[in-house]
Amino acid sequence: MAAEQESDMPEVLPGEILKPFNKMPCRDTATVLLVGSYGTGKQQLAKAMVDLCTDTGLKLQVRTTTSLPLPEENTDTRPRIDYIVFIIDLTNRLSFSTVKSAVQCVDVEYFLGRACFVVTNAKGTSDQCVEMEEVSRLADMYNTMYICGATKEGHPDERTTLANQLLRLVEVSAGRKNVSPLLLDLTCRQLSFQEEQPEFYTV
Amino acid sequence: MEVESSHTGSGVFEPAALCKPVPTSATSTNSNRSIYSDITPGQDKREEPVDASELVELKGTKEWVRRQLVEHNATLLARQQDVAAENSTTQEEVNANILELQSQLQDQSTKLSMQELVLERLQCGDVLSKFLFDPPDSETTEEVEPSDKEKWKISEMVKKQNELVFELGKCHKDVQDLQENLDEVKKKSFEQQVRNRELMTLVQQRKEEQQGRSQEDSNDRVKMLESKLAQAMSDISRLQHIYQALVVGSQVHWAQDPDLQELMISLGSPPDI
Repeated sequence: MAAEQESDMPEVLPGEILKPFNKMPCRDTATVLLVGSYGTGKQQLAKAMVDLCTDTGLKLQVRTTTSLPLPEENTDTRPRIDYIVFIIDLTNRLSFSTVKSAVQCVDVEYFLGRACFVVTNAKGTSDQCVEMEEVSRLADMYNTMYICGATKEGHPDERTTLANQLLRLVEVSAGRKNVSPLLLDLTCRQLSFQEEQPEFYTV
Repeated sequence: MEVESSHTGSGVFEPAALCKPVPTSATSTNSNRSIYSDITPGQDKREEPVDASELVELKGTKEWVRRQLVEHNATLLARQQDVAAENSTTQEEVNANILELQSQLQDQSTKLSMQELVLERLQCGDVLSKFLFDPPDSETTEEVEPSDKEKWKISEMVKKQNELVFELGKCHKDVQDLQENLDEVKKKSFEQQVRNRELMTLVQQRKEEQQGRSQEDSNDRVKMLESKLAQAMSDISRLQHIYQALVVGSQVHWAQDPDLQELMISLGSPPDI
């Protein structure tokens, strides 16, 4: 089924592409979109992020979806998406193909510091059916960083750490910090265009 | 698709304490005011906290709007530029441009951070000096005279800071001296290395010459010389025998003359080099 999806990609209409500057931003509010197939732990991650936000003055809204493009019915009521998180589970081939098709429905301006990939189950290579190289190739293609972490119940500390990292990125995207997302994005990787160098993504 | 949201009690954005990293110039002024408002002589004390929080919120909103404006303008500019420059530049030129712009962006950002830090320090120092040294105005009838204990505490802190800075300066100077020494030593060792390499090349050349010479020994030329030498030696011994025969054939009593005797004996010994 994954192979069928890859070869038979429907064309994306221009109206369906997510754009960051289509709508007005809201003061003190940030909206995050988590994109990942079933079983990648979006709900737990969303809850962790929301719990962390109750202390700060930020009203965080976390939306989750299993695929893009988003349905048209809610287009008017939906707020501006400040940050997109694509979740890839290395033990789930479907999650990778979902993300690969989802990135095509996102405007390129999101990849200038308003999106990132989250890779789960990166430890323990025995169960993995998605190679880390494929993920890093995808990240390089879109010039976007990826963070390795855990979203499921068994690793609460890692989930909290991941939620913290994502929250920092979301705050920058929403304009709460005195730093533009593009500046943050360019400090996250080596400033070179050589293809063979390994790149370290940390926030 | 599901929705989750969080709602906090108040939606007011309040800056944290003075130790917040890299505040904007606006918030740093306000945080100074909020912390020292009890201490510095000012206007009506009761109204100030309320005004301060509203002012802080407005300032925050203003900053936020300014940032949004900057981002939107940047995006607009980027979209306008793309169409014009598409045909002329190659991928490498674009990459080089991007790298240069990125480094410029980082430079500017670090400059701004440094300037903000310096500004914050100046403001802190200004307030501190007012607190410690300026006499209170005669207009404020109610107290606001800081207690001696607080003054003493703060002056102790400042003294300690002074000492630490002084020590820091000393350490820095020592490190600088050591660094200079290290540089000199490195230079010397580099020169030594160069000299060593030259000597090694000389040694190698001499070794090669020696090897060449030892090869020549087995050359034909040497053999020819050796054979010539052998020839000469046999000639000499032949002449010696001829001379001996002459002396004997002349029937001279050579044994009676010491010189002749010595000559005959020396003629008998084969030539030896």
